[in-house]
Formats: sequence, C-alpha cells, structure tokens
Amino acid sequence: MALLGDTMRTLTLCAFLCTALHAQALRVVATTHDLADLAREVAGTRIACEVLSFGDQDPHRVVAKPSTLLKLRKADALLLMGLDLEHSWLPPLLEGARNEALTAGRPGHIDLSVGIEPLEVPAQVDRSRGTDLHARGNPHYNLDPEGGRHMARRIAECLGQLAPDHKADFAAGLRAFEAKLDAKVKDWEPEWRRLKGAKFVTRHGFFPYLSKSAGFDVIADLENTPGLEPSPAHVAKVMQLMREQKPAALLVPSWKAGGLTATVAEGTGIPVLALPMGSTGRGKDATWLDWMSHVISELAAAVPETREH
Amino acid sequence: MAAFLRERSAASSRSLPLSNKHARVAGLAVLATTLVFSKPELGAQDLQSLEARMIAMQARYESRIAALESEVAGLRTHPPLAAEVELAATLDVTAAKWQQSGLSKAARDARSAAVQISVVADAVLTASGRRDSFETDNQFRLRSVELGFSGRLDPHAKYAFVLAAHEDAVEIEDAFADWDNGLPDTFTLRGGRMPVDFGFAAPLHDHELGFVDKPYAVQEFLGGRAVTTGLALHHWFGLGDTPVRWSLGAGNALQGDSHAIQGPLGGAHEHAALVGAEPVGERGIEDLIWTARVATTIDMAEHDTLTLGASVIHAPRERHFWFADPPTNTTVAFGDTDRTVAGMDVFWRHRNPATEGHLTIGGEWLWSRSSSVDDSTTPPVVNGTHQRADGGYVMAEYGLDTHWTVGGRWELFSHAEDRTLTTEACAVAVTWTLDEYNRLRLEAGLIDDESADDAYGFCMLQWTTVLGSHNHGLAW
Repeated sequence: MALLGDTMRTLTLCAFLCTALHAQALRVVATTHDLADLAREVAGTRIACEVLSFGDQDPHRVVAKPSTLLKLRKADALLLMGLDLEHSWLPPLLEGARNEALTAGRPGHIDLSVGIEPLEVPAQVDRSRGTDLHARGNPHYNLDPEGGRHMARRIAECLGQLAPDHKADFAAGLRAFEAKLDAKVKDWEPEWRRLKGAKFVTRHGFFPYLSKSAGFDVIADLENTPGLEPSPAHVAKVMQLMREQKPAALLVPSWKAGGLTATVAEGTGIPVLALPMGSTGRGKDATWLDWMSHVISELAAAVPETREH
Repeated sequence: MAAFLRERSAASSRSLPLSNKHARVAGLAVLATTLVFSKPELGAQDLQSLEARMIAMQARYESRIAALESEVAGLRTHPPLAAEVELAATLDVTAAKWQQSGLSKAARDARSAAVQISVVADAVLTASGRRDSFETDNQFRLRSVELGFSGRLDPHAKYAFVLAAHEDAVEIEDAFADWDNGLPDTFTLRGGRMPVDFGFAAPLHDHELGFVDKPYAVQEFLGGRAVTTGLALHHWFGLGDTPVRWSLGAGNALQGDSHAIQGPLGGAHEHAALVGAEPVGERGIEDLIWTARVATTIDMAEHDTLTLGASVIHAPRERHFWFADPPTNTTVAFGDTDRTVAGMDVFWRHRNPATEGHLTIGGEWLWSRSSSVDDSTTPPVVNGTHQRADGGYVMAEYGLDTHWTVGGRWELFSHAEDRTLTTEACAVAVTWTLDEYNRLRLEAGLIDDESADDAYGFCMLQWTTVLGSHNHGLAW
C-alpha cells in the first residue's frame, strides 16, 4: 500500500512537473506547416506549436474553423508568411480572437517576410487586374533553400525577443538547423546542375524564388493573374508555347492536378508534376527539409538526361 | 607685528591644506564606516534592485529597438503601396484617435478602416406544376439586388449595412453595429436591425444558401430570414480545446424576411411581423422578443468538424387585434397570446484539401408552441390552449472542387397553425461556380403540401453574381 502511495506521489509530481514545463513553453501558432517545422527546429521543446495549414492545401484559401479562434486566442506568438499570403483568411480570425499580443507591430506578430526581397512586385495594383493575390510581391519564398534559411533566422531572432532567457537555446537550434541545411545543399548539387537552364511551365507562381536560385526558367504560367482562373485565350497561348518549347514539365500544386491541368497536359503532351507546395508533416514531405529534397529531386528527375550540363 | 602676522598667516596657509586633507580622510572614513556598519543589507538590496532594473530596462529597449529595426527592414524590402500611403495620410486623424485608445499598431492600420462594398444580384427562372402558379412560377424573377457596406466604425466597433432592392420594394435588410474591442474578453454587443442568432439557415441571406430557397420548415416557423431590431450580446470561450459560443438578445419583434420562390412563403415578398406586438396601444417590456443560442464546433479530425447548436426565441406577449368591418372600422384588441420557437442543429463538415472539395451533412429540427386563436367567431377569441408543431430538414452537400457542388434536401413539418396538416418536400441541386463572380444553380424538387391540398414538382434555374468584397464569417 505504501509502495502504491509512493508511486502515486511520484506520478503526480511528474505530471505536475510536465505540466509546469509545458506551461513555460511559448504557445506559437504558425499559419503554415513549414513555419511550424522550422520553429521546432530552432526552438525545440521551448515552444508548443499549432499549425493552421499544410502544404497540400492552398495557403491562400484556408478554411477557417472556430477552433482556430481558440488557438489564436491562447497564443503568445503568431508566425506568418506575410506578403499577403494569408490576407483572405487570417485578418478576420485575428480580429475574432481578440488577442492583442498577436496584432501587427507587437513582438508576438512575427511576419517572416520582413527582410525578404520580394520578387514579382506588380508595378500597378487595381481592380482591372482582378483579385491579384500577390499584390505586394510573390509570397512563396518558402520554396527556396535560402528562403528557409531566412525564415529560420528570423524565427530565432523574434522568438529570442519574446523569450530572452532562451535566446542562446534558439541560437543553438538555428546553428544546428543551418548545419543540416548546408549539408543538404551540398547533397542537392547534382540536381542543381541538372536543373540549370531547364524549362518549366507552372500553374500559379510558386516557383520564382527556386527558379532564381537553381537557374531554371519558368517560360509561362497558366494563370495570367495569380489566383484567378485563366482565360481561354491565355491557356491557348500557353499551350502553343509549350508545344513549341517543350518544357520539362507542367508544375502544379497537388490540389490543382485535375481539370484544366489535365486538359493542358493532354493537349500538349507535356507531363504534369503535381507537388505539395509546403511540408505536410507526413511521408516524403514530413519536414521542410524533406519537402525541399522531394521537390528538388522530382524537378531534376523531370529534366531529360540529354539536357544535363 | 605686521611681519609676524604675515608669517603666521603664511604658516597657517601652509598648514591648512594638511589639516583639511586629514579632515576629509577622517570624514570619508566615518561615512564609509557608517555606511558599512549601519545598514549593510539595504545597500546590497538597493544595488541588486538597481541592477535588475537596469537589466529589465536594457531588455525593454533592446526589444523596442529590434522591433523598430524589423519595421524599417520591412519597409525597405516591401514598402507600402502608393494607394495605402495615400489612404493612411488621409486617415491621420483617425490614426491619432486610435493611438489614444491604446490599441496596437495593427488596429491603427489604415487598411482596417477601409469600407468593404459589395453588390449581389440574384435572379431565378422558375417552372412548376403548382395549381395556382400564375403569380409565382413559370416566369423570370429578379429576386433581389443587394448593396452591402461593412467596415470599422472606430477602434471599438464595426458595422454592416445591407440595402436590398426587390421587384416591388427597397428595404434595409441589415443595419447593425458590433461593439467588440470596447468590451472585455471576447464579448461583442450587436445592436440595430440584425439577423436573429437562431440555428444555421435562418440568419443567412438567400444567396448564401446551398439551395434556391430557405428550408421550408424555417419559412413556416420563422418566416424565412429571421430579423429583428434590438440588442444581442455574443460571447465565445474555450471549454478545454473546444470553442463554445452563446448569445442572448432582445428585439422589438421577430420579422420573417422571405423572398422564397417555393415553400410556405413562396411566391410573395413576405415581410410581416410574425411574432411581436402590433403598433397599437401601450408597449411594455413583455412585448419584446427574447432570443438565445448556444453552439459549439468540435474538431473531429484535421479537416472534419461537428457543429452542434440549440436556439430559442420567446415572445411573452403577442397582441391580437380585430379590424371591424365598415361602417365602424374600429380596431378591437381581442386577446394576447405567447409564442416560443426552439431549434436544434447538427452539421458535420469535411474539407478535402487535395481536391478543394467538401462534404456537408446536417439538419435542423424546430419546435413551435403558440396560443391558439379561434377565428371562427366574430371577433375571434384566444381559447387558452397551445398549438404545437414541429418539423425540420436534413441536407447533404458535396463539393467536387471549387466549381461544382451537388446537394440534396428532404423536409417534413407540421403546420404551425394546424399540426394535423403536414408538408413533405425534397429537392436536388447542382451548383456551378463559374468564377469568383458568377454562380449558376439548377434545382428540381417535389412538394406535397397538405395545407394547400396540392402536390407538384418544380424546377428552378438561379443566377447569382457577387461583386466586391463580401465576407460572411464563420458559420457556427
């Protein structure tokens, strides 16, 4: 009986300590799984991270749930991609959550796009262009090794401001992550060589940062305005270009593999490469590094061997 | 003597510095001794406190400097659009006011104060085998054109204003303000002409539905879109990891605003006060209607949610008048009744991110209890008994992708005035969202309406166009 009592006391103490340790962790909400994964790389168990969207769903159109309000309400920090990636769904949730710590300008509102040099910034934004999802420049910098490095650095910096006691731990986490990334970049060199100068067509502008880094060309985009269904005239023009220039593949997000994509692929004979546009926490795309490896290897595999430099 | 004095003076002047030095050293020694031996603990505490304050101050300022550096870096890398700069400049006064309110920079963001403007047009081509269809079916109908405005009034409140034009009238559908940031926690106070927080379908505008018409049971018991003018307090909180929300409201009267094509209110622009006082005689607090709702949405899986809700509307006193025929033309109040409508709703929603499709299955059941009026006499009389009726619908909606949706709905309800008469109906609908602005819907169904002693089939083609910013928020 005494033994049972001791065991119970020990278990209770352990539970109490676990709860206390967990309570000390920063409560972080990340708008994408990439951000959550990088935050975990940097901060480890110093944070408890919730994810609002995954790489196999359109990050522009995340369907809000009431539980999201609760997550945002309880959070100490919000990690977001910025550059208006989340502009159609996050602002009403932030307004509803009524958590002053997460509002823009506060240390808890961590916009990862700060410090990024955005690509494809439109010279003019007005209604005549429809609902341009990339009005402040392309927000898909997560699809690039250097984009990942930037995100990790900024996460470490901003979390360090929120929890100065753990600044050194975050710096150590960042160093460890960068070491892993550097090793991966070295591993990707053969794929990088293969991709250089290759041609692709995309559906939605997910690839400008990677194409700039890897040196491949996106000769056309099926969408004439980001986020809108393309006009038939534009599709016809792109199909003609595809027939003439024979790109290695039509790169599409995994949720756009059917419908128009299939029609275009069938009409041109160009293979479709449907990929998640972020890490998903599962399988080949479990982490941001896994997903980058997956995307880079798939892209390189799509390039014909005769093209290799 | 004079020389002696000078010499002495010189000697004095030489010796004085030495004695001063001794005096200073002695003084300092006394002071140090006093400090060391009188209150040594207090000195150490003071030092620690000062050091702690310095560290805290340093952290505070470092944090502020870092935030400013981030802001500067952000502005360097993606400066605000010219239009936003211009808008922000015009809103300097508002921004200053917002700053005074103590809200953060985000709340002062110029974009938050922008007005969202939308236009929604809804037209229906109807065909049916209804016996009395001349006024209602087998024709084109412009059901409504809505002009909506919404935005923030100030740091503490936001507003929504919807003006709707129909074939025969223009009316204010919504005109309410939500006072949110001025209240603690997640409380929101809504005031004005507003949708009643009752169930799933009742608060929705017609164009937000998955079918052409509001469910017929909702038409029967609530008069279509339930609207009132009054106040309602809303609040949500977390019960563990499950969000729960509730609301309490009071209004002048429950107005059923219906533009239904089919169903109990089909064919006419119904805008009558179904529950509440006639504008005759003295009003009391018992003439107000009272509303309440509690709902929760449980995450069953990453992309699956289950919403459960219960709502009630209670009208303690519904005044009844009888208008006498000529030549007297007098109004006779012949009695007061009370009325209660309660409802429960259950919806399971699944999202498929891989296809951008969805599946929604759910339904609502409503109960109505009202005093009976015997209108076989002149004037009619309130006979003291209560009439009960109930009914509801179940529906399923499957979104193949962002363009195509198919759905079905089955309904059964007894009539509020006479529960022996029932209506059974079913419908299937195919919706094609052509683009972000246009939607086409084809719906066909059958209605067996005992109250009209008619059973018929119908077919409707609906075109809805939505222009501008339009946000319906979370449905729970």
